[in-house]
Amino acid sequence: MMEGREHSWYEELVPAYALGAADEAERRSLEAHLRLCPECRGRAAEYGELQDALLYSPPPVQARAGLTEDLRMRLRAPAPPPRVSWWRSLLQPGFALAVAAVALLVITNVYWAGRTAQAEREVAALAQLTQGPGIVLDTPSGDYHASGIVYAQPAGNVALLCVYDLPSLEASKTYQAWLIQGDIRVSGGTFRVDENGYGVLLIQADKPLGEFDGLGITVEPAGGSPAPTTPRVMGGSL
Amino acid sequence: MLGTEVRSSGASPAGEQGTDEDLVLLQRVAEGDQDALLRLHKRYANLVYTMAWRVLGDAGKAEEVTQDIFLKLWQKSQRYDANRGRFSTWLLSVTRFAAIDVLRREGRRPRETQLERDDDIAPALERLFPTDHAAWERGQHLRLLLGQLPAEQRQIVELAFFWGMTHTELAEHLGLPLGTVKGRLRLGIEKLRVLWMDEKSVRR
Repeated sequence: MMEGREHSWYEELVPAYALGAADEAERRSLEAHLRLCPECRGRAAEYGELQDALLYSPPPVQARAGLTEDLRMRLRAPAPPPRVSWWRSLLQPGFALAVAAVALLVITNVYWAGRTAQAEREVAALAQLTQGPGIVLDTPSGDYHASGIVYAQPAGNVALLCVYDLPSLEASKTYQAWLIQGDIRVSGGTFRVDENGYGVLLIQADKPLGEFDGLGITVEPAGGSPAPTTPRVMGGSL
Repeated sequence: MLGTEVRSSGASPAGEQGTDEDLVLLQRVAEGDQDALLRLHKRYANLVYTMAWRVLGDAGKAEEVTQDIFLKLWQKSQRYDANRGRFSTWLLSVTRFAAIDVLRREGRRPRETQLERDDDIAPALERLFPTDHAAWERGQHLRLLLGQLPAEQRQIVELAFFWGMTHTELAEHLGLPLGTVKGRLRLGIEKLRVLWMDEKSVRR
């Protein structure tokens, strides 16, 4: 602690301290002084308000559409299997049981990784589509918190639909995607979701997607319908 | 620690009703509710990304920082204390530090700030930041006030705040004596505060 400083030294340091610009020794010295000086504490609080306001000063920028869905996927990524030092386990009792347990865990993780890899291969095949901005879909009723994203290029006739947190349906029903142009509804295909509510559908239209106004998803009988028979459960503008 | 009290000082103006909802969502996150985390992400991703982009100037890096902030909230390695202020202020603060860490680790150079006012900013703020847009309005105005500082003072204030430089680092970066840096920074911050307080008293 630096003793014998003029009070003005501490006063003048407060603005820089509030912005985090004080050097380490300066910061420690001022913090010791602040514990004893209500005047400087008040001054620090005033400059703290300025600091808080500066946090809101950057020009607003919109994050990429689909960032929330990316986070959702990361939250669902399977945990890596535990590391095992095989040579140490040789020294432990119950070695055979430990090997069997780890083998089962590894096999299980390979199985689930395979399931995930299959879905990801489908998506990876359309990697070029997903490089562009996606269109976020919402649930109009808000009854559940599902969402979706469509990757498409206006001049192309292929789109990739990814949905999240849609409820699973009984075997006699399916989800069906519709391309919307005015009053016309063109089926984009049917799909089901997995136990996590995740579904993927590759849509191939007869004409450029830029000619459609929007995309909607309804619940239909298994096999699909020639036209929507239920209200839209998710949708958005293309 | 996740607090259960809502900060009552500095009353919540219209459009800043998120605080109570935020606390409910944060409590649910603490209990392992992924949906609550994703709701918070939808509400605040633009806010976090804006700060990350301001510091880093790189969309990919800003996205990484953005996602990392929310993952740390999920993993409980970042903890918000409701007794210490608004959630959005805390988020911006931790984002600033996280982005500065990336900046320093990768040896990136600081960028100049954009000072011009965007005429479309009011609807943009409401759309991008569903809560706290009043705080953003004030912050955007503060950015314009920064432009009223002499260029050398503005530069040093920005280097200190958005790139986390201390007195010694500023002196080294700018090639100036330490005393000059300290004086210039102090005068810049003091003048900015005077301008800001003058504006606030006029707008009341």
